[in-house]
Amino acid sequence: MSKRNLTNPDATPDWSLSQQQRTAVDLITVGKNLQETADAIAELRGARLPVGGVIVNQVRPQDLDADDLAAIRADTVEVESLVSDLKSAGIEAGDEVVTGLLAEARDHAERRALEDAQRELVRGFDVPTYELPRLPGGADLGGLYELAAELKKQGMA
Amino acid sequence: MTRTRTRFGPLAATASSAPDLDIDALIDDPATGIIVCCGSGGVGKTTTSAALGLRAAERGRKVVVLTIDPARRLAQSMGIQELDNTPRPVEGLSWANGARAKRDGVPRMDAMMLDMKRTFDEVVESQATPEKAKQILENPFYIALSSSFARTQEYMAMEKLGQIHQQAREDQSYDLIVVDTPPSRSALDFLDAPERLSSFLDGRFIRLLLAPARGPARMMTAGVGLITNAMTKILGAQVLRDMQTFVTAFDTLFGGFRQRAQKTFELLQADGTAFLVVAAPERDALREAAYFVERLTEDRMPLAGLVVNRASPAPVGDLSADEAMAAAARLRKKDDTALSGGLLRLHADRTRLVEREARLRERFAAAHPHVPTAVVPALAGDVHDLTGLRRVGELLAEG
Repeated sequence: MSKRNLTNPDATPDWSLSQQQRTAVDLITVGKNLQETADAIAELRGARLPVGGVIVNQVRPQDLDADDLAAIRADTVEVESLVSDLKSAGIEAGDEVVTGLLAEARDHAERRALEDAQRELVRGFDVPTYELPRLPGGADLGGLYELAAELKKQGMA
Repeated sequence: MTRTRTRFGPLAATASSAPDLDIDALIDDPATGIIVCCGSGGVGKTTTSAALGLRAAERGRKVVVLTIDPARRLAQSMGIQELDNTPRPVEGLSWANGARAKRDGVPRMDAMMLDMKRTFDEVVESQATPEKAKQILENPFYIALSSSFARTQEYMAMEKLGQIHQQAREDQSYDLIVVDTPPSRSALDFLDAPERLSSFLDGRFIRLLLAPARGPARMMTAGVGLITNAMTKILGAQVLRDMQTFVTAFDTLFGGFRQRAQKTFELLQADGTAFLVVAAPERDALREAAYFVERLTEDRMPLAGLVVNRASPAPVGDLSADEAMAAAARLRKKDDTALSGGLLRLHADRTRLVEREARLRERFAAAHPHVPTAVVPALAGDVHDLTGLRRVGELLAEG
């Protein structure tokens, strides 16, 4: 097993680690504060500590594609076809339900926009990045295995 | 040295909602002089402290916020990115609408980021003669202890609180101090600070070190000599000498330290102090919150309430998660990419999250029915400026 040090960007690194060639500092972050991760990478590089990868944690489910998100942000969703779709699936799509769904979508679109902007920022770091989904039921042992499998699938370990 | 813990809680209770925490009543009350925010890491404690401070200031209090380790951008927005251990005025405040106590000029809020080592140094300088202070400050063992000794941070946060409180009382500079505590369970260890310092300095190990430093070797008993000889072999003579010098010098300061810690402890217990426990609506964070609530109750610290941050906003309408998922599955069979399906899955995800959080809060309220609670919905974006803090303050008050 390779020796990797999972560290929080806020934590002070243990400098003796830089002596070990098999050590790499991986940074874990949530989508909101990648600026701090950027600062941490710059500081690690300044201290000549090897930077491993960046793990973006708690990424939101991507149930809407880019076109949908764009339509929601621009407020150009075709409400009538949405209502007929919902009705065809057996939902009583009254005004309240539709307004509610669209409000949630706008909120989601805003968060996704933020995540996307942050993702661009990470690309600029020139380090491998990995993404972990937010676990809807919270983390438990099974959830950890799922996250481990996800990291493996993305080629981290 | 574990203390017996008393269980606090009802004998039986049904899951229920907690009484509401009235933030504005708390910060507007001139009798509230200190608000201490505690809670585990990553629950938005620093943001909550800053938002509370800002709201209080814009409603007419003269506020200082002491923070430990703010996110860089938040610190920048408050102008305290520099670690100089002195409160700095935050620019850009304006009076709240209908502020009760409209005063002349602009609202006053200072903010400070705690420099643990500098606070420690200042205490040493204020307690010892200049020569002795220099001797201590230059000692390698002191340098290590003051910057990395576990729990020094908690103690120093309380030390700084004591200092600022004292100063504020003398020159009327502030009438409300908001304190952000270190992000760990040990944050409440400052409650033990007087005993902890005493047990550290009265410990057998330290006594052993003190003994040889007080006189020539021949004065020692054979037993102590054996032990220090063994320690010299393990630690090296220089290290041991540094430790001995440090402990001897520090020992004379100890009385002052202990007295100050005792004073801060009493200050925290006084009526003018209010503790807020901050949590996120997650199982681990609420478990920590329960620990804080019990610990504060045990030490008879004035607990004002619980702030549950980052709650998922409740969905509009009465479409259930199951209904939405079933409909989304039906739609998927027809068209995998339809917006309607995506919206329904999103709704189901949100509804489940909100239900889960509500259940966790109800459980907490069942176990701690006396704790007033404010629930703050999560903001879509990051909070890193005064506008964001102001919004958090509003949400806290609506909580």
